[in-house]
Amino acid sequence: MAAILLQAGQKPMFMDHSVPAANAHSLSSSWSERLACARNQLMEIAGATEEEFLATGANLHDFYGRAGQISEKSSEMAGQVSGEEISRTIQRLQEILQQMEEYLVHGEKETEQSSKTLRSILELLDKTATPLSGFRKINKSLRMLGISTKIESARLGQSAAGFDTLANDVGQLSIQVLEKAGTILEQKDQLNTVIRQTLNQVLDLGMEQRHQVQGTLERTQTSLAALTQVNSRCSKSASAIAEASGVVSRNIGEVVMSMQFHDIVRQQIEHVAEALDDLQNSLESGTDDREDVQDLARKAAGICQLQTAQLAHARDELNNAVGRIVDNLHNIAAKQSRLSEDTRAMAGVADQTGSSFLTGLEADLTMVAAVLDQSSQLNRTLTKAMGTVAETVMEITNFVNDIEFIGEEIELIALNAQVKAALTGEEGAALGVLAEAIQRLSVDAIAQTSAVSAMLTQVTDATEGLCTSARADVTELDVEVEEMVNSLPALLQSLQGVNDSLSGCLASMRGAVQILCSDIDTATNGITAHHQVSSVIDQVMEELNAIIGEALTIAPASKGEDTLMQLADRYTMDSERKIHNSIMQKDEGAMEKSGSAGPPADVYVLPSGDDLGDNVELF
Amino acid sequence: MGKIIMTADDSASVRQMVSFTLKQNGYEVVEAVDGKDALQKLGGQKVDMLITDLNMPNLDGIGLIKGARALPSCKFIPIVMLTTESQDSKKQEGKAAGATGWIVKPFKPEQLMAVVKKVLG
Repeated sequence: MAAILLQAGQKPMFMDHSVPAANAHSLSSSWSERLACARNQLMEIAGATEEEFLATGANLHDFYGRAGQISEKSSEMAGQVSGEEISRTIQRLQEILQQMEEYLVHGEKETEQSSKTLRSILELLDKTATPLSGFRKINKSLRMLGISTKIESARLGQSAAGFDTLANDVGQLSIQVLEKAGTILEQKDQLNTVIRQTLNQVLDLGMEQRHQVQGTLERTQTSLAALTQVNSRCSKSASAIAEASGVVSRNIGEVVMSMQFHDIVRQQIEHVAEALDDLQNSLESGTDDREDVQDLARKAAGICQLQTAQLAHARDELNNAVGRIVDNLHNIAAKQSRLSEDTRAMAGVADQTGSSFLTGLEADLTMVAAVLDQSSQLNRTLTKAMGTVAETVMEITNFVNDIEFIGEEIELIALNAQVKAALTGEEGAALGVLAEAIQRLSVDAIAQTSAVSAMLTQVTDATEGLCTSARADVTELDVEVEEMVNSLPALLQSLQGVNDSLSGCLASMRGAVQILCSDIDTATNGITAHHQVSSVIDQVMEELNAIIGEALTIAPASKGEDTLMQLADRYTMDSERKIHNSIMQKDEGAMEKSGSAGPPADVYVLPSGDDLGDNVELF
Repeated sequence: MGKIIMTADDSASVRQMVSFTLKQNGYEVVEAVDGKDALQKLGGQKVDMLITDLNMPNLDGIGLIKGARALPSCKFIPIVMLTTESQDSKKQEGKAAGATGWIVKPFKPEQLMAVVKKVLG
């Protein structure tokens, strides 16, 4: 009986088995050799899967450890995003955002108010144009009156002595009025320019910038709300990560359980080989008696049928076990991949480049800080401009006061002239008329200066109010803005630190998952021994079925219960006994289906409560 | 330091899975390839528990239990059979030899750990 060794994919070299002669010797010889061949093949293949199973077992240890590390990394990342540091940062950022919004509302109101005040100053300044232009007319009239006074004085001669001097004085004063009015007009125009520039360059620009900041602040609020959500979500992530770890543990448990089928199936195949060995020995002991030949055929058919069923079950158990090992290892890979993606989503990182809403938040807050700084500078510029306005108005007021004083001087001169004209008598009547006219003009001049002065007073009041408000704002804003701008870098650095750490962890986690998935693929693709075992089992079953067919032609009503009962003593497993019993109770139809007997119910039942399981007994 | 558990089985893959399960749960594991190997190792090393197969070459599980119970260091340690054998007669034989419990293969890790924790207290 030479053992026939199989190479992978090689067909077994079974003997040709044409219908056996009803001769005990030839029958025994043919079946005996074929059974020996089958037995040797089974013994050869029984332990063939061990190396692959051991390699898979070694990998399992590694995979389990790496899956645990990935879960730990996920927990670590969740901890970072839900940690105290980021909670404090979020709280402080929310406070700053609140301050910024308050500042914006206040700033907008102030800007509107300042703008309104400046525009009203412009209107007041425009209104001074009419009284100021009146000074030119007064000047012209005074000059004419001065000339007329000189002419009348010359005509009267000595009796009108002094009127010439009076006329000169009036002329000089009128020139002073014209000069001062011109200066006032010039300064009014300068003031107009300053205010218009302030309006255009400072207030309008500031308003536009504030609107931009408002948009950015809204975005920042959204980012911060997202960060708060992430913070909250990560605080609750422990259960999700634990659930993922639980699933991996269950997958590992399934693999550990399935791995034991290498040993179980090996034993089942060995039991079949032993049964075939026994049958071969019986056949070799032989007989020439026809009755004995028929008994031998019945025995051979019964044993072969039973062993075929046992082999089919062993093959299916092995294939199912390998299938479960592969499926569960792939499930581990899939679960870890999902954990990686879930962690990425949980941490709020949007894409694979590691950029996140944190990056956007940083950019927005930096922009807001810069605009706030500019805004503070704009307020300083406004204050400075208002200072210039106030100074100019003060100078204008001085000139207006001068004109008023001149008007009073002219009035006094006119009164003196009137007195002198009256003293001159009938001849001085004309001079009296001239003096009256001068007196009226002086009154006009005083009235005009009063009008200009009143308007300038309004301008002064408005400017002073604006200056006070702007100065107060600048002081307050300087403190607030400085505080906000100073605290932002530290907060942003804190966020950046978390972001960098998250990006690093995610990249590392992703890399670990990719390598784990790749290694699991490699490991599962390398499991092929069960195919070889199945192939050999199928070939042996084919051979046994052929023997069964031949035996049935010799002894159709094949019943070998006694022999089969003896075989039952060899079994160690419930599954073997169940198959044995099912064969013993089979009908003819079942016999034709030999080799496809289904596996018995799994002996393992999940424990419930304190129950350790049906396969466990403590003495 | 974790407790030491010996696993005796002629199947390397079964020893590997028992060892994997126990080590994951913090136990130290000593492996023996059959009953004879196990007895030799038990003579030189104290263990807290023995998990043994029934059918092994050189010395089977029943023989191992009897030999172990004869050793003072193993007289009271838990000994659990881990085998494909499920016949009551065999279980009684094991119990009579001094086995603490019986687990029919295949086992689930949590199941083995439940038994270990229960018998080790």
